[in-house]
Amino acid sequence: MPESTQPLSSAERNALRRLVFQDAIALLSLLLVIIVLSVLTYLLFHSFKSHEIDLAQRWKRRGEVALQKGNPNVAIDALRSALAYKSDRSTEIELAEALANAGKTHEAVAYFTTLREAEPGSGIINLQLARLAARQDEQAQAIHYYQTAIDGTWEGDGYQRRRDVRLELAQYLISIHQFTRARNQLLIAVGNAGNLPPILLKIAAMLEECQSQTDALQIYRTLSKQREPSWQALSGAGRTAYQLGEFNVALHYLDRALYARAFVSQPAAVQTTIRNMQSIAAQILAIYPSTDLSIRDRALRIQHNVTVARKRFNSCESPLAAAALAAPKAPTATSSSSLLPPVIPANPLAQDAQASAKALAARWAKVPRYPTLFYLEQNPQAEQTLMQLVYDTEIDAAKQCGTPKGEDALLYRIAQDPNAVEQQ
Amino acid sequence: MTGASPAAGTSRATLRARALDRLRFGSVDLQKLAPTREERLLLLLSILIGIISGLLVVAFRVAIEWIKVLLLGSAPHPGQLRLLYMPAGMGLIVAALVIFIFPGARGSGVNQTKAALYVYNGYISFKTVIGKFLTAALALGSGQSLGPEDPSLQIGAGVASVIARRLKMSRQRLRLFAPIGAAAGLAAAFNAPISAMLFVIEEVIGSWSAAVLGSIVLAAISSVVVARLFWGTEPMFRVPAVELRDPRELLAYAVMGVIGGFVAVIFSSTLGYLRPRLRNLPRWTLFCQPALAGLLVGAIGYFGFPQVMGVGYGVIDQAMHAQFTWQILLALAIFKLIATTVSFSSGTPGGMFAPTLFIGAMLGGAVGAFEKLFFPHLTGSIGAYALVGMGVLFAGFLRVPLTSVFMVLEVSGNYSIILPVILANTIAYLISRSLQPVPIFEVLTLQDGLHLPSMEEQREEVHLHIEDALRPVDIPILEGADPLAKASRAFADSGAAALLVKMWDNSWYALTREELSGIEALQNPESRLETAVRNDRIPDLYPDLTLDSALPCFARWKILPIQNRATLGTLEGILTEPDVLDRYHQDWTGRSIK
Repeated sequence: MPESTQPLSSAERNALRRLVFQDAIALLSLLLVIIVLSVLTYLLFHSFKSHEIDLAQRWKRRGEVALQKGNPNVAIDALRSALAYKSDRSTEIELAEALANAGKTHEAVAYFTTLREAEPGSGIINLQLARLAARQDEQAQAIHYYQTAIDGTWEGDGYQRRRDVRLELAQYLISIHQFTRARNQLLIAVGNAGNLPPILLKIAAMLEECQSQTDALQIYRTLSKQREPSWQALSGAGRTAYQLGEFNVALHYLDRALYARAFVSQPAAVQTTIRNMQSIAAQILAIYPSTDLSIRDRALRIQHNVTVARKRFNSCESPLAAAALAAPKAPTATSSSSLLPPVIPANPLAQDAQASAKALAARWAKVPRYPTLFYLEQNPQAEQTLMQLVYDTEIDAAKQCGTPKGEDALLYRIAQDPNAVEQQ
Repeated sequence: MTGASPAAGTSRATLRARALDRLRFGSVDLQKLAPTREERLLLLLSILIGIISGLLVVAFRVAIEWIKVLLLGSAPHPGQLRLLYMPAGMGLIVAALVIFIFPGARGSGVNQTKAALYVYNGYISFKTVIGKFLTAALALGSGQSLGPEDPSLQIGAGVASVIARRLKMSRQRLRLFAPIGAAAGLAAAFNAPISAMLFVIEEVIGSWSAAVLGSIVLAAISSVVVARLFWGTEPMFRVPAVELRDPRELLAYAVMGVIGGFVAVIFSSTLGYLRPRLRNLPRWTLFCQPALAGLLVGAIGYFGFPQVMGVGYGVIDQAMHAQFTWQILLALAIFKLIATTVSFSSGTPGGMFAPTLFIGAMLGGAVGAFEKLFFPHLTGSIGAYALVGMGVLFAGFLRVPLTSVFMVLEVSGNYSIILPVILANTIAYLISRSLQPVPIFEVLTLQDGLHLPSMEEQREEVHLHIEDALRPVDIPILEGADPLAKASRAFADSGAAALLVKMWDNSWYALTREELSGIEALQNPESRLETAVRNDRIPDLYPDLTLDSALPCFARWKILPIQNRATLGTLEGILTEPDVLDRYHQDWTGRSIK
């Protein structure tokens, strides 16, 4: 240690030895202090850490229970306390949910937005933001967050969560009347649903809501083909086929629904609806001039339908046609006098009705007043023409004279899409 | 200075005598015996000081948390009566401890450490360390609105001082140990070594001293390593990366800087106003002041804002995660400011770092949330604004601009925010110093009756340079090869008192008339000047050197040639002693007028 070039005296040498010894002792005692202090600090730290974890779990549990019981304000306090002791993503999300449930939408949005900044691809965070945006009627934002949630990352069964979010998005799109976009989402969801009847039934029901009965019918029919199909599938298939005018299919499924065991457990209103639909479908098929019928039977039905439609025409359209014929012609330049003609305000709707009634009258005038069965059997072309006239008459009469009743109503239903009636 | 003195009652003379005794080891001079011993020990001790400080700070922080849970419960919420009586009751106990047993524990710890460094030769008693630990833990745990960082700094400095004394360090070394320990304590408290080092350099030492820098670094790093062994390597606050998509968004952060600057002024003015008034009240009131402060803080908690009680890191984190609306954040900032002012002014041991960060974060969060609400196109998150707010108040209130920037970066581990932080901090700092010329630490030391050096002034002191006193060359210049006779003629022609001689190697010699007379009496007039004059030469001086550096040369030379750095031998001008003194006089007069 001594750097001095001069030799040390014995006193100095002793002092130096003492110095080295005392320094060594001091350093050793420092090391000892460090060891003792480390042990004490470790014990203190770990006792508090374990207590902290315990507190965090306790407060989190309280928060979750409060959230389940519908006490979001209590949950907020509890979850905040839990987070003060241990930062945990699931607790943070629960807190944000509690904020949202407590009606603190702005706080919830701000909180979720911050969480999203840390984890932009999180499915659950984006979903919650989507719900909040939907609640605030921010449609574009809501759809954006839903889409991000669908594409985002999910813990656990991501496949199922994404499908659920997609269905939620579709439901939201239906609620804001964006049916085309909703249908697209639902069709993708069908592809992701696999062979799960409850999910498919839900999708089909939603497709009905977004006025896509064809797609819904397809799903219901697929489900109905399974062994022991659910009543919902049978009734859904019957209902959607009925709405599409596919009465042959509708009758098939409505019959099955009507005679299924589950039918009796349905609410009375549902039972009545099913019964009515089944009855109407049966009646329609009874008057429909199917090509599968014998020539005579078909001619009989056509003859009957023509009679019904002519009657409807006579009661509803004839006066209009007569009015059209009796109406004065528009004044021409040559016939005009020096006096101006009276100003009669023209009603375009009335004029249209008269014109169509006049056209129908002309068409009725061209066909035999009472077509015989023989005539019909010999003239398939005439059958076609007559039935088309029947349908056009019923449609036009419904427009002019209101909802038809009785057989007119049945014919009117067929007239919507005559080719669909017997579709298989 | 009862409060600030680490060795109250011990006279300065006694301390000096004690320090001088330490230089000796019996009858043998230690410096003579082992001249490099202290240098070698310094680095090793820095590490040991860092480790011990780190352990103590961890224990200190855990003690605060334990006491808090025990006294205020695991989740304090409005309406709990204990929020009222616990801080008040504990205030009485803390006051009694500070007045009767640990007088050195009063205050934050920063000024006490500075006082130890500049007044008491680095002496901080072990009793003060114990007292600071105990009283600050009790005060903060009971909910007083103060922070643990400044006490940690003093604890670290105290540990260093005790160790240095134990190893019989010289007085000069002893003074170096306090800042080393201070850096270690602060680094562990903040989990931020760079900020701690910068703070000690900016606020405690006041300058970059190479002698102590290495030790400060070692101590700070050692303590942070220890702290991270316990708390992990995660930064103190978790804030998502800030993406500044549009430079115009900096305007929003600039607004934050302006608001922060004004709030910093309000904060320091309130503190500067209230503290001396409370201290000047009758002595018996000193017993009740911490209790009354505790009662007020407790009342704030009881009636709606328990978040302002205690250190508040958890609340800062919540604010950064947008858990509060801007109205709540603003209310928290206001109530925290009131609570901290009262707690600190009452003499309760505890620091101002954490409250400053708290108020800054709430203010930043409020501004961020407000701007997000009304200007939704801004991309900065509320967390980013809260983080910038922390730095802003740190820069404006504590007046440590460099530390404030690095502190934000270190506590968040987020370097993407540097641009907004620098901008906002600078604005806040400039506003604060223009409205409040005396920094808060200086205000507090003056209130304590101490006149410690102002670190801000030291940092910004303008040094005079040689070029400031330079005059054109108006005296003859001769070559070294010229004869003595030529020099005589030159003196006769010019009437100058001295002339310059340029030697063959571009060195210079200033020859006076008297010296020439003496030489001429002994030598031939044809003798060359370079052989006739003495062998010493004027040191090389350049215009950019400080004026102080030229002063020692006037003991030997009457005139100093100032050379060009690019072409040695070419003169920029000359310097004379009267010119230098005149320049200093001008400078001093100018400052006095200011």
